[in-house]
Amino acid sequence: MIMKQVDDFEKYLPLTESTYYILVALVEPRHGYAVMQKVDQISRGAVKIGPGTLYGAFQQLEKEGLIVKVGEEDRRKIFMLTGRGKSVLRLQVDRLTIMAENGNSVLANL
Amino acid sequence: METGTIRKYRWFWPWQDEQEEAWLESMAEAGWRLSSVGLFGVYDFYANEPERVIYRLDYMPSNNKKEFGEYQQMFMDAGWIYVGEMTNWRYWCKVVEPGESGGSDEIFTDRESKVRKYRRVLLYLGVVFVVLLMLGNSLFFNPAGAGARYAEFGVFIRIIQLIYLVLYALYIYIFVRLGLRILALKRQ
Repeated sequence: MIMKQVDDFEKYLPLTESTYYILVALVEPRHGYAVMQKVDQISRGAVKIGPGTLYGAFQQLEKEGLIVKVGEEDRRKIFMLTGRGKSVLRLQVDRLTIMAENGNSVLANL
Repeated sequence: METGTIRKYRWFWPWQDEQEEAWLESMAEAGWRLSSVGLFGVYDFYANEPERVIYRLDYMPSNNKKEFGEYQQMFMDAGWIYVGEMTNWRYWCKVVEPGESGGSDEIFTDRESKVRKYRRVLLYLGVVFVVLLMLGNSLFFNPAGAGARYAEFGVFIRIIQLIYLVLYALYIYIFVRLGLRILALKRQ
């Protein structure tokens, strides 16, 4: 059966805000501190990721195959999104888009 | 200003890490900076300008030097200073410059990762507990014949049994309190 090959990406959803931003930051290869800075910047300061949280998230996401180590720089591992990671991110963005559309249309009629 | 060094002995349970952080911060404000931690509740301080220092504790059992180096690097990049380790607890601090803002004062910035810290403690102590159970097993359940062999050490065996029972009770108490801590975090 071909269906068996299809991954159940839904099981990762919904992503927490931190996980979501970590995946977004990893569309380009980055090490830990670069991810923290990027997330701070693109979330306009709304989302801060501490090193303890990020260290655990890297381990977890690597285990789930959503990110992969693509290099090393001194004692810093550099990670990047995998194809699986991209699929999960896509699904999450689709969900968020529906959420935002619903919210916007309701608010517009108030 | 205070001078010299002092040593303090304090006991904090694994679910009291926030109280421990607050105590270390009050020491820094009183002019005592943590220089190192030792086994089971030994804290060494040196005299310094009274200042605001944030202390944060992480639980990170690791014997892998490379892995720990990467872990350390990530914290250092984010501005944290490593103070030391006590029974797998890692002590991190950050000096707050007057008028400074920005940057995160937390090493764990979401609830999930805070819960996972306590889960690591549970897992580690759980393994130790299972080992203790296996070691103690033969003390309580002797195969026939072994009892006779132990007979001449009767009192001695009783004492060891008692020590084991106290340890078992202690571990179970710790598991319950840690479990409650996790529940409280999840309800927040």
